[in-house]
Amino acid sequence: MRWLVLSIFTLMSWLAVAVSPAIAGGPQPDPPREPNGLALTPPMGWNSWNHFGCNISEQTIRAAADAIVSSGMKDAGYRYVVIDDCWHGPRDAEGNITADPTRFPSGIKALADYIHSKGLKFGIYSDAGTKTCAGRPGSRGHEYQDAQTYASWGVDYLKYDWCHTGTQNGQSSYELMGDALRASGRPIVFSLCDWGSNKDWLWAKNVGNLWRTTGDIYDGWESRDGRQNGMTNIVDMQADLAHYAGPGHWNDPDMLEIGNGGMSAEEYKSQFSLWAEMAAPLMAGNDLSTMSAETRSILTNREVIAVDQDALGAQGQRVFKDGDREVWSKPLKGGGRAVVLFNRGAQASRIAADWNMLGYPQGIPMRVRDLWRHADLPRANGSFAAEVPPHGVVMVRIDN
Amino acid sequence: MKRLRILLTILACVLTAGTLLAESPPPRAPNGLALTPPMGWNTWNKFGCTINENLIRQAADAMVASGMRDAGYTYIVIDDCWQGQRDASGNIQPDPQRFPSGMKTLGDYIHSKGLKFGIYSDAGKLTCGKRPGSWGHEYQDARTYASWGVDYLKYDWCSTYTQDAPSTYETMSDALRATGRPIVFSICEWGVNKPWLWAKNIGNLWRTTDDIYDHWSGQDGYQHSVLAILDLQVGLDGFAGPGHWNDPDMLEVGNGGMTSEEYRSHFSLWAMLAAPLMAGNDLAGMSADTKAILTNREVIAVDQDPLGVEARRVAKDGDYEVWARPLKGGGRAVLLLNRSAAAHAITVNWADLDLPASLRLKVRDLWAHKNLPDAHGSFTADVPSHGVAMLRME
Repeated sequence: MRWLVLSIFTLMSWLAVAVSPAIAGGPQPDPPREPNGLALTPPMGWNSWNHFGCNISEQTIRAAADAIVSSGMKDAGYRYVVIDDCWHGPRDAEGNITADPTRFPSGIKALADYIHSKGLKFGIYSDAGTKTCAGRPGSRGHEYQDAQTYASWGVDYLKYDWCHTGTQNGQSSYELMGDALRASGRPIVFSLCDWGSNKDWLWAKNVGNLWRTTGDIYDGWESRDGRQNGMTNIVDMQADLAHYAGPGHWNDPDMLEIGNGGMSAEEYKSQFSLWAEMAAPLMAGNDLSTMSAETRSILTNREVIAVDQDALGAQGQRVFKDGDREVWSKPLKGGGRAVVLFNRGAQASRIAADWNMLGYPQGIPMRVRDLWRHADLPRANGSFAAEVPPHGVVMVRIDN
Repeated sequence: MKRLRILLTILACVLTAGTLLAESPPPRAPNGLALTPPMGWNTWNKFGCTINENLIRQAADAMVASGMRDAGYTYIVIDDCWQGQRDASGNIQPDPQRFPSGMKTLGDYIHSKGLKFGIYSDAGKLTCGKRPGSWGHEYQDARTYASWGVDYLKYDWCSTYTQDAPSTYETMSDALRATGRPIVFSICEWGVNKPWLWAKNIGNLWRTTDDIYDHWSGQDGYQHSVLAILDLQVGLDGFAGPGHWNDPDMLEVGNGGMTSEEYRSHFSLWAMLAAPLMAGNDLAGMSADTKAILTNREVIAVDQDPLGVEARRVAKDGDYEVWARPLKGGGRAVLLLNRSAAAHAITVNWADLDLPASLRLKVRDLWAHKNLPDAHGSFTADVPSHGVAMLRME
């Protein structure tokens, strides 16, 4: 009988110690976070930075909102109008952030209301450190205040940068703002912008909706001096990350440069096709009110957008590479594939995609539709090949 | 035009890269506070999570009535479990059952007694007692504390998961300074991230170990006895100085788990370590013996010496140790510690004090409050078991 009493006592003591909160000592596991339910397809919109940089005002943003509608971009699926860095004024006496009164004299709420009146959504920018990259006040130490402020303004999307963070831990810093956004009660898409430096794909799945995987893109085909990330450099850096992405949580290879003049039309088509193939956010970064017909037709290619927005939410991967000739494959809902034949070379080249590259049995005949020519091609059995222009793509949808 | 755009783009990228590379923040200056180790009283060791405003008022009253205030104890520090919920704007409120009069009223009462007001929070999502932590609310909370008249913040490290300690403590340090109110900043992350390496201009004192418990020797889980903590201070003395102190945790003097001799040793050692003297007992009910220990002005004067140099262990022979610290004016405070189970003679040699053997020194016993005969070359005393001899030599 005594052994029973002793055993029960020991068990209870053990339970008391195990269950009691550790006052000091080892860390306790963070309660797991749920997804926030947003961005079930990659977000589409426009961001001020690539074209305007720090030179923004409420007029620029209103004009962009107008142009998204009048150009047909809104109808094609572009929704978020995102103000990047340089909108900030000082913090007030309570520590709440205000807008630069010269650039945004009507205030942010009025601007958000305008954007909403166009049937669009409103995005804003901040930074996890003491200052933004352009030296405006950062959100560090003010996360809950700032999230409440953004919610009160009607913000739908927050891009959160990583400058001036010193020794801050990336995961906890982004978890904190993620928690603050949820506490605001307003659904706000959370875009992590720490340039992959914290390996976000490993932990950010239920923290944010998209995470930058690399340093900033610049408007060029490839790096000029080894330090800048041209479009193709960024593409290469996405290898091995595809399986981390899915509905609600996307890899972000940075914004589109289409229409900014640093690449050829063929190269811009390649960027758009590859971004769609990679289930990337489609954030236009050009001046929408002055874009050429060609730029607009690239950005509003609905068939390519449909690949990007495919409900399966599987990120495409490079399944074949031979020198400058690449084949990319993206599984689509319903069992089909989006296939990009990508020619990185300086001469036109014939590129073939075998069915085994796409994960199909070899003998199956499939329908093939060219997503740039908007034409059905003859059925293919076992492989599909095409002549691909230099720095260009052929992008097809393959199903049965 | 395209060339200009390329140039501007390159310039923008270089500037951005420059900004990204130049990540080191501007160096911080000291906040000018705690030029001697803070002295006061904290609720935790005696009362834990069971606190209310009456308890605090009584402690403030007892601090005065007992003579502790006159002996130099200034801060009344409310530890964990005072918090209620955050309001709709995210501002922290006190627990309305425990602190119905509010914190400003309590702060005013403390100030009316000629004392200073300390409070507690945590650098993570929750305090160790599971109340709301300050993570993400640093500037709001600092402003709230300043509006209440807080003079001292103890900032704990529970529920911090993967947070980086230096930047986390920097944020609250900056938030406190931004209020414009001088607030002593007590860093309490238990030495996990070696705060002595980085906290000098961020906080005024930093815990160097896990929590103390009311015991002379040994360890109980994460809790450390007096001797366990003492041994962990070795090597840290060089990091302390006026405005920035190692913190070997609060005093247990008077809490009943040690003998009077052991409490005397605990108090003496803390004074040698230039440690904050934060009493952790029930002030209203303390015995004469406890009061005599805590208000020993000669020992307190060693702790509060303006030179602010922490003691080193200068000699050790098994259970017999000699600790010494230089004092302003050129003298030395010397402590002979007997860790063994029996009384024993312990000798300090002048060489251990970096003094020439021929130097004649006046010797004063800081517990007997007596001048002893002058000495040179060495000094020997019979030290009781678990006891100390504490001397001022100049």
